[in-house]
Amino acid sequence: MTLALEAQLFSVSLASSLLGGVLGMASGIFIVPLLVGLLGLDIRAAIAASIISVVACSAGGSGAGLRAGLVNIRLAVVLEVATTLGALSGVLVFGLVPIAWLYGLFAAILLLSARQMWQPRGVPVTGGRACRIGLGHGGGAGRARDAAFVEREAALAVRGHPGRARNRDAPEGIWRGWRAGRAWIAPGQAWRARWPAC
Amino acid sequence: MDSSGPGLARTLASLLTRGTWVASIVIAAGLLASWEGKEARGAALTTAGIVIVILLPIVRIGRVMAYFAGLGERRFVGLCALVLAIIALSVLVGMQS
Repeated sequence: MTLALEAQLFSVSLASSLLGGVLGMASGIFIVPLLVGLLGLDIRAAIAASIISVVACSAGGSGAGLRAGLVNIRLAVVLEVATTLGALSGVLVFGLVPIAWLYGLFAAILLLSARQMWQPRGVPVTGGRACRIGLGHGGGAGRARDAAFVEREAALAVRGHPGRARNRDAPEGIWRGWRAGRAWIAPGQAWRARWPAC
Repeated sequence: MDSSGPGLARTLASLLTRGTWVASIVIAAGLLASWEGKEARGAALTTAGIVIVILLPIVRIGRVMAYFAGLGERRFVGLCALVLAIIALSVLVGMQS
């Protein structure tokens, strides 16, 4: 591997992980097309390399989410059972799927991701099955989490004071925001629920 | 309500962040060694860095399992054990293929 190729790979990986971290998507979704399209790698080799890079990207990136109290660890454990099973199934069928199908499947996933990113985000959800099975975040009965409350927080956040919004309504800081099931996404956007609040 | 508190989250964040830094430094050392012509040493260091990256989520699950075991929550201990078992199975499948 030449130094120039390594520099290209480094740049591609850096850009992909940056995009993945900002958008909250696995960086493999950017790395695979870039490796295949720009560097002419075989799609199977690109997928194998991206799997490793995704582990590194998520391990490095999830630290910030954990520190900010945005991660529901119980929900993550439940999801991991399915994702590890899915990954194992993927490994088993990896060699059986024709390359043309891999391209088609990858294109379909990219289209679905693009559609998901394009759609407006949902409003906070209260209650539901996740609460009944102990996966939701709850602040207890009587906590104000109505539409006006969410709107007020959103207005403060849009004015560029996410901290004010958080601190004014949640004196204990981000911990209470975490319990209420809200997450600050990016400047100019509203608090959004990532999981049901109970 | 999720009662796994901020203490566990901080511990996991520290584990993942520090582990990623260590892995990055080891991989970078491997690349530097390769550029200096020490191919075998470079490959060994790069592989070691990648192994650290792969081990991080496994160690994290182990830490979460110990936490839930301390709380006496058998359901989540079982789920963590199931995740670890699936990972072990994946390793076995990967080694045989």
